[in-house]
Amino acid sequence: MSSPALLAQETVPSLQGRDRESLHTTLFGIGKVNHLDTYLSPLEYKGPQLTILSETHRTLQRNPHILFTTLLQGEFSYTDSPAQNAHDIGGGVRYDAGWGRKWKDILWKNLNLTAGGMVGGTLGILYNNRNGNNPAQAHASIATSAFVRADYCFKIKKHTIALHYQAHLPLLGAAFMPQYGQSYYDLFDRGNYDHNIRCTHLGNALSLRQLFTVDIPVRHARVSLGYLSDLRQLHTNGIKQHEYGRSFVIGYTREILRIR
Amino acid sequence: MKRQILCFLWLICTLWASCVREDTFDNTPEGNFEALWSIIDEHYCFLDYKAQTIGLDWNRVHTQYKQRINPNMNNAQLQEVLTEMLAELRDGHVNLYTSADVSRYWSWHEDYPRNWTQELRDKYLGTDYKIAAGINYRILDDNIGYLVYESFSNGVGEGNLDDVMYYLRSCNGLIIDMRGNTGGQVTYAEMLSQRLTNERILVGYTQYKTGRGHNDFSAPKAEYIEPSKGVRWQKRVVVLQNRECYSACNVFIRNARECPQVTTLGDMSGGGAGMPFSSELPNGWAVRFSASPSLDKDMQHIEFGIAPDIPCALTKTDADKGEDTLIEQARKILKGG
Repeated sequence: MSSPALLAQETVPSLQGRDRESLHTTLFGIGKVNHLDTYLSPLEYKGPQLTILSETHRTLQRNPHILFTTLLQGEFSYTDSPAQNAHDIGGGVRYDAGWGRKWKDILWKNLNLTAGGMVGGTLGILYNNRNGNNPAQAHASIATSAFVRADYCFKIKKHTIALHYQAHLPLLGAAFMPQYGQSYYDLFDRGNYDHNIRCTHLGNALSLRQLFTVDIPVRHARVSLGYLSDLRQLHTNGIKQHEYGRSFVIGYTREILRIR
Repeated sequence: MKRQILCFLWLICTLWASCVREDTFDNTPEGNFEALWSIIDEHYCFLDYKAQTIGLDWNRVHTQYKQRINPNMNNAQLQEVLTEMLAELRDGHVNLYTSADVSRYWSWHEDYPRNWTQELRDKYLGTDYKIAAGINYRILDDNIGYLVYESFSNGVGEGNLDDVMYYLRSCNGLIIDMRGNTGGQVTYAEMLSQRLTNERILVGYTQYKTGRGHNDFSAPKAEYIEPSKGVRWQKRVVVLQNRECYSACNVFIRNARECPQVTTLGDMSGGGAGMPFSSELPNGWAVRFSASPSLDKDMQHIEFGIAPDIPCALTKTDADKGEDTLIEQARKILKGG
């Protein structure tokens, strides 16, 4: 039995790939989003989006080739109709957790690759300020996903620069959706359930989240800069939804090394 | 491993060939016309019913009105054409909202006598009537309760209804005057009708569209009213209705007429049995339309109104005397006359 783990934050950016490391990244994003929800409007709404993202990648102690990953993402958006006389206010959270197999020095030195699966869910709402009996759409879903992550680092003078790319592809799950013309009054006040939990798969919910970040050492910290592309789609019960979000992100990464 | 990586990258690059998007229309007179016609074609819930009852042919409407669209027309001209096109639906729940005007179809009550006047109502209510949230009420001289609910947009609580029913408990009967109530929240209509029954009653059915086809509907789902847990009315009731009784008020009349001891009196109600949804055009104009129909307990449409048990109209002779024909007729019924 191993002794209780101690956590120590490294003061010097390390080369990734250590067997007992844990990466914690917090990112704040600002960007643009394009919303479509035909339950609310046939038009696409566009506007700014704020994102906060926290993710952890931790190597399992008992198997250094296995990476445990968690992702918590929150977002808020305020979008305009094409004529800019109606608005959507959106917000939501998303959480995923899963495991991946890590390969070190693949293809070339210092390039690590991780591939695995995740399970997670989303909760959110999109509110339209002009509609009457169809003023909002709730988002709730769970899904299993495939993810890949590539990490590469190199040195410029004495500074270690780390590049990270990850992609997250939902494969199979379930999502809430009212019927084509069903009101929330009918659904919740009258309790008329009608196939409102639908199976989601690549055929009706093709979505992809990609994040590219660069970690740069700044004194004793590591600043992360990057680009988040979060593209979600759903087409079921005759209702079409998409949310195409693209944000620039900035934050920090802490690398924590467990010392036994 | 290289092959797997390449496969994944290929997958990512090709995923977006299948974006989920909606057909779009240009922000031109023709584009806005097509957008509006399509919204109604795909979402409006009475196209088939009105094809059978009033001969509505939505494809013919497209052909007929598209001829009047030209690229150089201004907003007022475009709205005029679109308003006339929407009027073909003969639906008070259909509106087109622009910054300059609200297009509407109000013939469902404007083409008929109102059968009430505010002056007469004020005379019956007097000046010392009581007000409980959205309800005005008093006891008339012959010990008949008189209750006016002017609009279901004005809220009422269960406590208000308890107080009203308790205050009127000694009356020999109750007149519920719905004339002029053009609707509002269905919840208030249901709350009031729950005061009129001691048993769970089937009052109708609802449906909603399940797809773009004119006939894509869910199976009808039964609607019941449950007896209120508060003070319930146990004596006879006469509900006064006219052509202005629309939407949520139409639902109240549908519910009330299934309650024991309730008699409806007056003119046809106005109808409006489709719960309205909202949408919009590329130029930003908002459109409202009926999306989800309510049916009566025999699964018949009530979109064009509900007939009263006893037809009755306000006569000029009575009005000149300062009497409301419907209220006087209701008093006779409640007294057993």
